[in-house]
Amino acid sequence: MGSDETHSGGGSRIELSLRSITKDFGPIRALEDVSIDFHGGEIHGLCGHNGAGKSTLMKVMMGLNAPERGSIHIDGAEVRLRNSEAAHKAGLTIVDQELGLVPLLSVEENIFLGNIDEPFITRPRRRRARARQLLAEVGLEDIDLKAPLASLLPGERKLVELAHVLGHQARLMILDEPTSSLSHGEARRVFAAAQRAVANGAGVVFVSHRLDEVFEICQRVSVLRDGKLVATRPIEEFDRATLVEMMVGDVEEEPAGDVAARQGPAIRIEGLAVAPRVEDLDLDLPGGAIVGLAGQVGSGASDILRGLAGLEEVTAGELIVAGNRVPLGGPAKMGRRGVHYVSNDRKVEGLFLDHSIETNLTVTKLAGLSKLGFLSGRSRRRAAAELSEQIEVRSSGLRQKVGELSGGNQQKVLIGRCLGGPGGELLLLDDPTRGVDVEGRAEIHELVRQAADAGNAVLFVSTELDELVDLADVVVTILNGRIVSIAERSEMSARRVLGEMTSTTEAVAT
Amino acid sequence: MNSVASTSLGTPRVGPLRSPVTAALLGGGLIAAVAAAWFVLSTDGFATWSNVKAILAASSFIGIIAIGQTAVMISGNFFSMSMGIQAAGSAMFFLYALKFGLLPAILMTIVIGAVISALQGYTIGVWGASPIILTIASSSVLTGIIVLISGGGTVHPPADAPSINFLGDRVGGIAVSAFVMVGVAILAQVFLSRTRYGAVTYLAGANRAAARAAGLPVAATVVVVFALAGLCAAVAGIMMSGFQQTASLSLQGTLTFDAIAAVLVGGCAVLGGRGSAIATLLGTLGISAINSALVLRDYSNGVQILVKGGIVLAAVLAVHIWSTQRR
Repeated sequence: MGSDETHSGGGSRIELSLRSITKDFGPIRALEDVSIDFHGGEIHGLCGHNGAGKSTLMKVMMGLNAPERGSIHIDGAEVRLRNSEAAHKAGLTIVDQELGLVPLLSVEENIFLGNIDEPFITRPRRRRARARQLLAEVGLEDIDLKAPLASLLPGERKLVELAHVLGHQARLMILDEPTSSLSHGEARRVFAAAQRAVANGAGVVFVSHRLDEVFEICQRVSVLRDGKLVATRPIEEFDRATLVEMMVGDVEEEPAGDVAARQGPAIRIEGLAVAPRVEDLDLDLPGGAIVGLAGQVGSGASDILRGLAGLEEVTAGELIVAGNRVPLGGPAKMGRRGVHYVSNDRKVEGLFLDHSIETNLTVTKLAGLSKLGFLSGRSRRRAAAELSEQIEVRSSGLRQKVGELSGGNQQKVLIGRCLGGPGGELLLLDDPTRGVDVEGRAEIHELVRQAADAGNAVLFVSTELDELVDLADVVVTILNGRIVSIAERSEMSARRVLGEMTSTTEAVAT
Repeated sequence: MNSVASTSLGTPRVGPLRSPVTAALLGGGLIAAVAAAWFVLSTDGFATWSNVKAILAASSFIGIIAIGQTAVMISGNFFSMSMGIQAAGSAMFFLYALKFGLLPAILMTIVIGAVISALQGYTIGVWGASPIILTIASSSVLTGIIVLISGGGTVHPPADAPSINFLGDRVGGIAVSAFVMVGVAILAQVFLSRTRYGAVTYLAGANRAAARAAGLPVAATVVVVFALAGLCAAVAGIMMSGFQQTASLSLQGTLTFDAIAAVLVGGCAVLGGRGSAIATLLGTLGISAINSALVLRDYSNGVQILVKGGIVLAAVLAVHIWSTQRR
């Protein structure tokens, strides 16, 4: 276990340089020519919107993604991080958004989880002392070492995770959205721990959507957009507006649909409660408008859709479509009542990858395509052919397996199955263009507009600003399960939405 | 693990022979299949009409149950472990119920069998119980109830009961139960490939979460496939009692496992989404044919069981390799 007095920082301050890092995923360039220097003894903010390349950059630093081009240097010497073990050895660690520890084990056991430097025969007293010391470093002096991690508050768990990382001789810690599920007070304790680690010489990379926090604790900030580094500057040279502008860039606008001409039903949601985040939510939406729910992951926006689709338990609330109350129930019941859901995970919860385009396009319409329980193959083929023409999916035919299509075409099939209905339905689209390239995105947006033109109500969730600005006629911003603001297309800008999505201070709905 | 890569790229088509290991396995499997066919067909007395009839008769009870299990497995609920006891119980109830007349006895047995299994399906589909554990527990409960009612003895048809000899009879030399097996297979296949619930059975097995999110009646489908399995077990029980003229708990023998083996040899995917009733029928006949060849060649009981186990293992491996190659 090395020396007991200096731990974090490992003696000298780390100098980590990323030089011209480029990373492709197939046709998509996730990072392009990114060069950033991280120093020990400072907190370095990493900002960028979803898809900007933050996750990929973190994975490159943790040895999980090998870059196509570029190099990584530590203290002046080039290193190759072939896997996460190599990154750990080099002193690089990450505290993930999700808990990386074992909830059923005790605090002490968790701190030493995977600690390869431990002596073969453990010395309990020494081990306890070391655990106490590490916990003291993160400000958890009076915690029961034997308590199972699960019994701690979320913020305390995060702090234990920090202590765990410190115990691994971390020279540079990446904190990925460390406060996303924490209360204000708990976040304070995490910041204090990070600042203490920095004072001891460690480097911290702080990744957060909450810009207030970035301004509070970071000394320098790097902004990524579309896989490229926009700038790295000391925090004093930023103000909130310039930072947001750098993250957003120039937004090209897609044409708006003609909301007035649409026959879609008005939607009212009253007192909706979906555990654990959404409580007593009221929403009154005009007919014909495509409504975008803006919210980061964990904001509760997805939970609203899943609750309405019957996939999460709704403890209270009413759905009123075109003045008629639609009783909320399980997914099959909601499907029969004309409520269709499209998951944000098309592989796990969306498509039947082993099945044909024809099957996937008609899954939501089986009842209408059968007589006395018997499916009509001919009407099924006809329905699928019509839809596939409408969505312009590039394939070798309706019999082709969906799993063989490109991501964009898969997503078109998934959205396509909601089209061609009788109208008057409610479509719930969770992140409808996740993982789709720019061109495919515009095509999918056009499909969603067609669905609205056909007289359906559309409610979608997106974490991507461009998408909200391009597609939504009305943007409802959600933070911590509550409505922060409602804005019409005309009065809305990417900047304003981002400002509201990333704020920590909650405004009252107008 | 890597969200960008896994969502933005289409799955590339992979040829059937991706690695030398799987290629060798597939080649070895092919050779083994040819050798097994030669071994079976060259057996003295195998390729005779009387032996074919014997194979059909011997496989019919297992085959009928296996067809019901096929629907359960395709739906992604593994298999029911209570099929053997349900078949034996159905046989006992059928003989008892003959006092109400032949047709009422048949109908009552089938309906009760289907309902008992549907209740298990309800617990599994609606409450999310584990299919294997629930059906093992049900099997115990059913055994207890049957022993309680029958006293653990053998049931004989009532003295004035209508004759059930025709159930164990032969038509054109072929056992009636073999005709029933083929009929059940065809009906089950029509259900699976032509009806809405059949389509949902495959989809729920292929991706349960996606089927749920698409608003498909997943829970109802689980109830339906279990009802179908219970119905098949009841039909098998009726045919067995016709063959034996008496019925007791011992009728269940190794029916449950033999039926599962037949489904697997028929190429059904253990995790669901793929399979067919007709393939299960062929699987049943295949196992039966090899068993018959072993008997004709005077191999011991131990060898017969060993070979049967080997076939199931090979079939499961083959299906697994085939399905992972297609991804």
